[in-house]
Amino acid sequence: MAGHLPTQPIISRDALIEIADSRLAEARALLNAKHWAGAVYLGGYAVECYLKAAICFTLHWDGLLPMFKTHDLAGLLRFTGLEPSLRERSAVRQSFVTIVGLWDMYGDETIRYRKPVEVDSATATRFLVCLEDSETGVIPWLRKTIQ
Amino acid sequence: MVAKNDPVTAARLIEEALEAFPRTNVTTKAHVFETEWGQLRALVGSDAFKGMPLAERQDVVWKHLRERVPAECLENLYGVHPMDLDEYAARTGVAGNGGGA
Repeated sequence: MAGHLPTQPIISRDALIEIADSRLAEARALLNAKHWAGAVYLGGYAVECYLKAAICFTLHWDGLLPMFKTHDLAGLLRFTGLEPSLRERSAVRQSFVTIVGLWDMYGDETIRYRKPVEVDSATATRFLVCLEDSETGVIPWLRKTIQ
Repeated sequence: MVAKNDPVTAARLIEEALEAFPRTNVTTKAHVFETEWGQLRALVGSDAFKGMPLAERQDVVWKHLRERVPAECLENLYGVHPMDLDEYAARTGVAGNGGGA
């Protein structure tokens, strides 16, 4: 019922972007330190925070409402209104679905619960490329859309 | 041409294509489902994935899909989760070693 929906933001849009940039920097640091699973884990959170910031941007909100407390990256994408834009960028879309496929298994099993040994250097390196490549990365695309 | 707004057909075509991965003499199980936000996800279990790096699994399975499924049917597919048959059985409750070509 609408009357019971929480309407107080749980975090500001600016804070989400700050956290996302921090998680991305930490993912890079972990990659450089050869902590492959940790790099992927934190890199996925960077995308999650950027998607939440994009929802705020699209809806002209200063902060995120509690109803968006989810790790479902594709579900968050839906509420950004950016799916048509992503469809027009096939390389970025491929990066996005690769990130989703690796990080978010839609349910109780995500990469967060994989044994670290299962995440190899090639996977972590590829994941970071999907995140931040200037042409095909999801985060540069999201940054442009919310500027 | 497949209707873009026909998620049932899209899901069926995706599932059939995944079950044909990677070749006919390997058992492969697949399950395509719709999320609460109306997007498609796919689970695919095959021992062809055993020992294969996670990123490579993504590459081979998406290449396989793009070669076999019309592009408009893949537009609403937002995640493919490849795993070996033991992982698939644990995830879905469907044993992966019985039946199948």
